[in-house]
Amino acid sequence: MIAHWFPYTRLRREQNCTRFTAFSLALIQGLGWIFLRLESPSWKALREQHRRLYPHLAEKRSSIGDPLRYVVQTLWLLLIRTPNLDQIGRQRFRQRLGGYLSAVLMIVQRPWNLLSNTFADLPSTIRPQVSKGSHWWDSMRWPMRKVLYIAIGILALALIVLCITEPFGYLAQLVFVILLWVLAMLVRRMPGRFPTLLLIVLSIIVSCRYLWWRYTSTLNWNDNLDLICGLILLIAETYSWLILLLGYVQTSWPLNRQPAQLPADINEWPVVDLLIPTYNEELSVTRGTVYAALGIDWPKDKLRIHLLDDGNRPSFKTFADEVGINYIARTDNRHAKAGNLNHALTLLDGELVAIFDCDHMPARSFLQLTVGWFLRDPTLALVQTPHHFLSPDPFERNLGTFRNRPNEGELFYGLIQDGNDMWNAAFFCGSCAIVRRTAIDSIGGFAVETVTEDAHTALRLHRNGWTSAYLRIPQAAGLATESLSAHIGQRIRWARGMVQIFRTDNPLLGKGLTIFQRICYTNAMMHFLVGLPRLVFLTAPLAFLLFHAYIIYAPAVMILLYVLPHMIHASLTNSRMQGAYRQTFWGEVYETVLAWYIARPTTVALFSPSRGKFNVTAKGGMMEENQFDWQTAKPYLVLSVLNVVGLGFAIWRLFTGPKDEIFTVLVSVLWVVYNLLIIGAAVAVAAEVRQVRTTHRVLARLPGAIKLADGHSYPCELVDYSDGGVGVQVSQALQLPVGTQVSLILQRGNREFVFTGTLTRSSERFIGLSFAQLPPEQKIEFVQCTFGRADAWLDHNSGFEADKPIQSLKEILALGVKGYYRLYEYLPTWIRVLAKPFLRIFQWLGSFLPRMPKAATPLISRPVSRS
Amino acid sequence: MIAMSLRGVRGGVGTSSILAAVGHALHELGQKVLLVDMCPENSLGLHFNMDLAPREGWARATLDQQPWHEHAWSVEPGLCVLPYGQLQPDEFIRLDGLLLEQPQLWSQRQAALADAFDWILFDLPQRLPGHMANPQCSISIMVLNADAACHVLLQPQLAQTPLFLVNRFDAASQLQRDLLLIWQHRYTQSLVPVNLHADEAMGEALARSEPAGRYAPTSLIALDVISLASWCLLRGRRAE
Repeated sequence: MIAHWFPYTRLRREQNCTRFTAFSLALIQGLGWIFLRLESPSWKALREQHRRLYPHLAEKRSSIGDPLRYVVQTLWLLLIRTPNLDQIGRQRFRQRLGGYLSAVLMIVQRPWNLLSNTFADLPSTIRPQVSKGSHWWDSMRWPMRKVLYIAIGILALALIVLCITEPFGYLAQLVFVILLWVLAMLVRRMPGRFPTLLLIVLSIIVSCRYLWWRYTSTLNWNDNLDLICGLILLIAETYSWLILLLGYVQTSWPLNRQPAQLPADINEWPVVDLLIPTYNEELSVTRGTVYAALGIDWPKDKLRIHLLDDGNRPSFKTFADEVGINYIARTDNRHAKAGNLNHALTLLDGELVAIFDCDHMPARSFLQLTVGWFLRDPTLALVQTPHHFLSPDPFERNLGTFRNRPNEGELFYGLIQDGNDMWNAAFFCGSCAIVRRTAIDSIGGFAVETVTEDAHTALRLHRNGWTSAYLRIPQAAGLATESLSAHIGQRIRWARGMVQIFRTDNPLLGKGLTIFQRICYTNAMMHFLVGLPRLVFLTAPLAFLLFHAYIIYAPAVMILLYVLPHMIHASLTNSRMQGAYRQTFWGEVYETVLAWYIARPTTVALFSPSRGKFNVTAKGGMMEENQFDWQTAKPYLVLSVLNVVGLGFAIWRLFTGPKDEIFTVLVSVLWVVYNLLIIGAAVAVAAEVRQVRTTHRVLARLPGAIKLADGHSYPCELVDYSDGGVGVQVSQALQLPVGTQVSLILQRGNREFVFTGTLTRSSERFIGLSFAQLPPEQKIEFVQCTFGRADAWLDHNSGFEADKPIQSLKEILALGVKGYYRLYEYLPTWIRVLAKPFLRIFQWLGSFLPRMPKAATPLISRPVSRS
Repeated sequence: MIAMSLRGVRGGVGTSSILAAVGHALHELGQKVLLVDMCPENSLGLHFNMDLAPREGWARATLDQQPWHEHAWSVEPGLCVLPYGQLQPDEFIRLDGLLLEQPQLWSQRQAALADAFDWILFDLPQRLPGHMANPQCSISIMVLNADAACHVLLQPQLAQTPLFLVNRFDAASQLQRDLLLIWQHRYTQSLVPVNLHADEAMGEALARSEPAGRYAPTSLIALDVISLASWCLLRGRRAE
């Protein structure tokens, strides 16, 4: 409301209203001033709160509907949300209500807290008893102990079998699952690894019980359609169950291996050949890796760097000669990367072979941290370190989760490989690794039979009695795949390769492996068969809604009583085991995106393992503008349309179907909505966010200094760097024109280096420098001071938020909604033109709706990362 | 009370400027500091906006058998400068002989000052053995520049001075980087782990008669000097 008697001209000029609108509004306001004494203090007070009480009208252009909107909002404020009249009273009421609620909760809460605190302290309270007990146990004779072990084992097994197979009614099942859930919630509070094992046991019991129930009492053998659909779902569920169990075994006890000390005498350090295989990657990408490799801390005469160029490019040869490294090319490029490596091995004789993809820049400490284990353990064939990515992968870029959520690879390199290491099954990942030459020679070089030569090589090493190690310290960083399609292409290759190995050199068969190694390898390979089961889950409720097939032939309540505990326990356990490396429900999104694409190649590879070719993953590129990857998103759009159709059917069934099916329909609707939102999240990934920089900026906080041409120096903090420049924060604002020569002083250990660059940006205390013109030897030093620092990647997970399953679920669901909204934004113009009038009408109607007295927060407030 | 002395391996390496800056920085860190000019050039006061070569000073007073402590100047509460005083060449040679005869002279004075100051910093001259040896210091630092002359001069000095400090370091110079690398490798124990960088602000500070940390508090050299002062505090606490 405008504080004027008759704001006709004002409305005409400032708000551009029509004559009629301006006149009516001005008239209403004039009448208001005449009859309501708007100048009185109480009206004045109300006017001051205008923006807060009428948030949707404050910024809006005046229109003829506004009086009605004011009336609606006022009524809403007066009758339903009474904010200023008795805010205090309402607060008091709320407090009182809260008080009652918490009093009621207290009755449960207090003993619960007491109990859970007792549980949390349990390990320390019972330590004396436990140690006494273990003394007593140790003092017993072995045969006696053996008998006891067997007895306890049999007893536990009998109880577990009983728990799994005993059929229960509604009430018994309810009590049973609540008891187990309470137990899990209590155990969850206890620190340490033993409680994790307990959680695993609980989860296994519940999941086995679910599966047992599904097999024994939920198949309708009398109806063919029911039976076929039911069996398909059941097979998919069995697959998930198997993966869950194998995963538990694989990651139950991560080894957390520490680096081994090197001998003090440098003469004992082995000679290392560092191989950088490349095929069609750009020289600009490869340069950084070579510079970083040249900076590795190792005796110069014991480190030989070789650039293995399968593309046979003269520019690479020139570059190699320039920086003084060995250049190896071959005439053919049979067997792709594995062939390239094998060819190079014939020319080399170092004791160890380190391998870095041409876009993985090693840290200077790589060899000093990894080689120690080779000297300590003569049977060690391989030390693998994580693949860390300094640029966001398509998921991180398109969903804006870079640096605040663990990415897709984090689970594998953070937990699974560490878990594998416990069972001596950590495997080779193709890069950022170092292998023993004699071991590779003993299995006849790198495996060439499949498209994932790395895992296959490791499997052969293990079969031949060699051991492997995994060091969970990021000692290299590389570029993530640039686009979603490239990312999917890479995963398809991995999936195909792993399934090929599963067929041709099955880890369950053959000799030389321990049972746990077999499990780890099997899980790694089976994991890639997830495509078909995932598609089954995404469409399963449709079988009921569309075709009325009873895929789970049981009452809906019973289904919930069985399936919910199975899911909850799995989530609780996984959240505890994997929370730091993958947040709950994010796996669903990753799998959903890949499901369609890996379903076919893995199935083909399963039946005909020899088909399939090696494709190189494209990395480090630009995306000129925001775009929607329709090609990639197509299957998900089809799936979401199917699910929407399912929802339509559900409504139809709700109104016309038999009464006793209503609950079943509702449960199916819930499932469909969940599926829709997960698919929505997958669609959100396909909306590619623009990527303008050719080089990726790495965030950092490093001390440094800048020196100006006039001799003045200032301390600064390096806040980001890329291979072409840096951004620094200076201690005082310097008024420098763009183009000034500025030198940056950086430290590496206790040495200092100076890099002279050109000022490209200057605002307040921030300065951007470009280092495009550095001479080659300076470039080496620059990479060593930045990307190659030993601690460069150690704090990459400092921005991750702790995993909270419920919170995580909310985020994923919100992401699903966002996905559909993005989809709308990218729709072809004619559809949007068609849809616009409807949206307009909705918006117009919506504008009359009353609002909450303060600005509502948007659904997802996190900005989409632009870097 | 901790006594610290600074001496250049040769003239012109920037010793007095560092002494003034470190004294100021220690004072900023909450210490009560006395700076004592032991050089006949009598120019330390210049760094604190005092007149060049004041007539009165401890050396003058010692020779004239006056009370030496009356000639100290208070720059700020807790930061004092004691000038040398004007002496003719034959006079300071005589004083040097006197100091050699009475090796306890300055340690007695230091003891008398122990309650009034946390730190006493001595700016030592080049070629006056009496002046150089008289103050009893728990931290004695020799100042160098990273150049070949200093490298040569450094060798025979090592036995006497356990610590040395690199001033005006410029990492853009390959020679300086190499020399520093050699020194870091050879004299790991003796090298003060803080290098003072070449910074125009240091020279400008003297032109303005101020210690560097006061003239350009955001400059790199000011930060370096603060680091050096902090290192001195740690080292002094260990020595005490």
